[in-house]
Amino acid sequence: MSKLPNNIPTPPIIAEKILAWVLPADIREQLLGDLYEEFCQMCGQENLKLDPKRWFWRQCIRSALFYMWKQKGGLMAFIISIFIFLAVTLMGMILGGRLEMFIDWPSLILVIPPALAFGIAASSVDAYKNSIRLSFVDQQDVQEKEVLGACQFLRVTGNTAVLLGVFTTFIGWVAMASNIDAAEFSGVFGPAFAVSVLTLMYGIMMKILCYTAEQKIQFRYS
Amino acid sequence: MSNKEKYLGEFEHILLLALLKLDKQAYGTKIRQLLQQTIERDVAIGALYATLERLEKKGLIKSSLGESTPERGGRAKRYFRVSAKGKQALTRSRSAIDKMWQGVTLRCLS
Repeated sequence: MSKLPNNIPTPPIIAEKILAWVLPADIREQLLGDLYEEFCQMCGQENLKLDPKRWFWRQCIRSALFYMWKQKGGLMAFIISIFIFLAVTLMGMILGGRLEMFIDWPSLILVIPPALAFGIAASSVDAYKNSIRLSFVDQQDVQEKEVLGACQFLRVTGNTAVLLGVFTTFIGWVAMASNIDAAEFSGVFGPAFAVSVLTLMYGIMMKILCYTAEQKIQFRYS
Repeated sequence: MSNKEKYLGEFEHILLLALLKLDKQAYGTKIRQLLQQTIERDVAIGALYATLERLEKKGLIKSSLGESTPERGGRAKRYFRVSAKGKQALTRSRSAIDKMWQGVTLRCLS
């Protein structure tokens, strides 16, 4: 066996944590122990072709990729689906004209914070935290109450976002109808109408994300 | 036993031989190092464990937890050994390969 170095070497912590997160519980400790043992042996050797930390990173990434789909397949599919949704939405927006046309901060503020507040009011702050945790982290020991709470939060948030979108669109239409007169109608109506329906668009986007997360949690934990 | 379980893949064959060579010292680090030193195959530790898990599910090897040592950061070792079924599979696989090699000559052109 190679001599151990006097100072205890520290392997790259981030690489180790990524691998530990991906590995199944029954082999995690033994596999990480094997990696650490070989890393220590390499640190004690001289004239190595490969830097031990680089070697450790390479082993962790190769091993993590090996177990990623097996252990975290649901999570990966969820992240990829969100990425595809955002990419397609962005492509549609760019093809439809300028990107700025689809961004209106007051409309976002009218829909997203109130929808989140209604979601928390209809469930709890814990349910809000659980909905994020269960959407992105595959866990083994999850209580039924946590799953129900997270689903309730996502359902209410998604539905409220759409309803708020419809409601604030109506507010926009009432404001337009009250303030636009016949003389300026052709020049003002188009941009005003576009802004008024943005809230509805944001509401539907929020609903799509919440619905997907809710279905993922239900399928994984029910 | 299905054909898939009856015959060993190349890497499975190599791993079973490595376990036999290492005998009571067959655990992750040693197996990986043996493969690198003997056949110059740099295997990811994850790939090694995935194959060992598969072999264990087929009943060709058995594993047991060992001691934890400071050079492993206090983590336990998992020792592997070839079962009787594994030895039979190895013999069958070798016999099949030997039979197929009979009468075959490779001509090196270079």
